[in-house]
Amino acid sequence: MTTISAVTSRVAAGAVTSEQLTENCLSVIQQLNPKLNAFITVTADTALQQARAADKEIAAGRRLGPLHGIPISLKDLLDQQGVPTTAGSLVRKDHVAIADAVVTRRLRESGAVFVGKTNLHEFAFGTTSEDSGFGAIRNPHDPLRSPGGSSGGSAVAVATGMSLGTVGTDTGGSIRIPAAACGIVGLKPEWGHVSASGVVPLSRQLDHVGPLAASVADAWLLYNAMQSPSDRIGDALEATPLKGLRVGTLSGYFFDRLDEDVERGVLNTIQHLQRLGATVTDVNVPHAADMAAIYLHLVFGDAAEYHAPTLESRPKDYTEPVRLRLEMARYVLAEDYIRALRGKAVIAREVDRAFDGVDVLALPALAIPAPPIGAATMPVKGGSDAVRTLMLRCTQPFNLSGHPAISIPCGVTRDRMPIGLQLVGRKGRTPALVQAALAVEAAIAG
Amino acid sequence: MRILEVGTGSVAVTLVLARGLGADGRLLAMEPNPKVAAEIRTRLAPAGCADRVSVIVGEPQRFLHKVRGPFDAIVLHPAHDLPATRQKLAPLLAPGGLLLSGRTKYSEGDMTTAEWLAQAKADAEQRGLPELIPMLDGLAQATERLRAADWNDNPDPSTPSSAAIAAANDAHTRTPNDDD
Repeated sequence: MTTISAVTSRVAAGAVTSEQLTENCLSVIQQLNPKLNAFITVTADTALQQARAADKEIAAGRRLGPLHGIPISLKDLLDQQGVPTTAGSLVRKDHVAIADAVVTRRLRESGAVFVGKTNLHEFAFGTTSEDSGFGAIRNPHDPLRSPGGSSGGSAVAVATGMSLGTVGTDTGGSIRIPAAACGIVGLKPEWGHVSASGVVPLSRQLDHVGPLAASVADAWLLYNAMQSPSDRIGDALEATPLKGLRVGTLSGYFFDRLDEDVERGVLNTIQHLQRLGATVTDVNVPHAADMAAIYLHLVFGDAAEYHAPTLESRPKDYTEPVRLRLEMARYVLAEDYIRALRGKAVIAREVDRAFDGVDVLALPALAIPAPPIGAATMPVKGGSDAVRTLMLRCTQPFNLSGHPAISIPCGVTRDRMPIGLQLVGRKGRTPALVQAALAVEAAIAG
Repeated sequence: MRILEVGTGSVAVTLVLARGLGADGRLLAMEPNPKVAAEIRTRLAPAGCADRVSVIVGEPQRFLHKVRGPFDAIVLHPAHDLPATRQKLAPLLAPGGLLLSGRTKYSEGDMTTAEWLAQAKADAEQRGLPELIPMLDGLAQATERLRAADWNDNPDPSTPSSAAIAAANDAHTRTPNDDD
C-alpha cells in the first residue's frame, strides 16, 4: 500500500504530481470497483480539477501541508457539497448535500482531493456491508467475504489504492472492524473530539468520525487535519519507546469468544511487545458481559427515533434486513433505554479504572476474520456465535466509554485473512495512543 | 443521570421513568395541570421515588426557559410536541443526550419482559410484520440481561465522572415556580 507519509514529500518536491496520484486512484477504481463495489459515487472530474489546482499551488510554493494534493475518499454518510449523501440507502437517493460536513471542509482546506463517496452498510446500521441499497461490498483479500463494516467501502478503498486515505464513522466499531478485516489502520477518536456535524447519524451519543489509512502515521495526518486549526498538533509524532510501555490486556470476556487464529495472532503480538520491553498486566472491566445489551438498547432507541418518519413514508426503499431491525428497534421501552444510559455511565467509569497503572489497553479489534458474505454464524472458541454479536464484541465497549481506540494489522490467519490488534488510550491522550501505536506497528513490521 | 419530562401524560410514565433512574438519578417533571401534578406527587412516596423526582406546575411554553440543563434525556409528551417547545429544549439537552418524542413506546405500570414481549409480538403481527416475531426474542434476551444487571459499581467519588454526575444532580434545586 502506498502511504501518504511516503508520497507527500515526493509531491512537495515535484517528483510526482497530485494529478498522477489521482489518476492512479481513478484507474484502480475503474479496474476493481465493478468487482468490489467500494464506491457509490466517483467524482472523477472534480477530483482531477482539484488535483491540477493543487499542482499549480504546490509548484508556486503555496503547499498547504502534507495532505495537499492527496487523493482521499469519504464514507457516503458525510456531506460533500454538491454531491449526493446516500448513506448507502435508496431512502436518500435523491439527496444532494448543500454544504460540506465540518470534517469534509477541514480536509478540503488542508488541500485533500476527493475522489468519491464510499459504499457502506445501509445507514451504518450493520457491520458486514452486505446490506446496502447499492449492493454488497466485497473483501479484496477474498471477494467471497465481507470487508467488515459499516465503513466497508472506505476500508476496501485504502486496502486497494482506490484512495490513499479515507474518512469513516464508528458507532459500535464501524471504523476498526473493516480496518481489521481488510488489513489497514482505523482510528476511532475520543467521543466528541472530531465533529460529527454534516454526518448522517446512527446514534448521536455513540457516533464517532475518524480516519482509515494505510499506516498509523497516515491515520494521524488525517486525524490532525480533522481538528479545528487551533486544536491541531504537529503532523508527525514520534513513536513511544516500547521499553517501559505499560500495556493492560483485557482478559476474560474480551478473549472468551475468539477465532483460534485471531487469538493466537493477538497473543503472539502482545508477547512480542513484552520481549521488546513493554510490561504487560491483566486488567478487567467487571460489567463487560452487559455491554452488548446496553449498546443494543441505546443504538436501537436512537436509530428508531431518527428513522421513524421514513420507516412510515418510504419503507420499501430500505433493504429488508435493515428495515426489519429498525422496526424491531421501535419496541425498545423508554425505561430500558434509561437503564442502558445508566449502564453506559458505569462502563465509562470501569474503563477509566482499567487504566490505573497502564498506558494502553490491548485486545483484538475483531474476534473473527472477515466472515463469508451471507454467513449467520461463525465458529469461535467454545462453539459458534452470531456474526453480528461477534463483529461488535471487542469494539463497542469503547463507543460506550468514549475512549480513543485504534486498530492496526498484526498478521494473518492460516487462510491469509488479516487480523487486527486494538489499542485503547486514556481520555484526553489521543496523541499518546497514536505514539504507542506507532511503536507497536514498527515492532510488528520488524 | 438527569431526565426532564415535559408534560406528564399519564402518571404511570413518570413512575416508570423514576424507577428506571435508580436512586442516584433525578427527574424533573413539568406539568401544566395542578391536579395531575398533585396526583403524581401523592403517588411518588408509595412508589419509593419521592426523593428523586421534582414536579413543577407550569405551562412548558412559558416556563421552560427557566429550567437549567443539561439533561441526559428529555421526554416530550405528544400534547407538548410543538416546534417552539422543541426549540427551547435543544439547549437543555446534554451533548449526546436524547429527546424522546411521542413515537417512543412506554410501558404502563409494572410490565415484565415476558408481558412486554407478548405485547410487542402481537403488535408486530397486527402491523403485518410477522418477520419481527422471532427477532423480538433476541431483543427480549438483551432486555432481560439489562434489567438483571447490578449497576452498583461503587464509584470512587474522587473521579471526575462521579463529580460531574453529582454536580448535575444538584443543579435542579431551583425550579421555575420558586421565582414566580
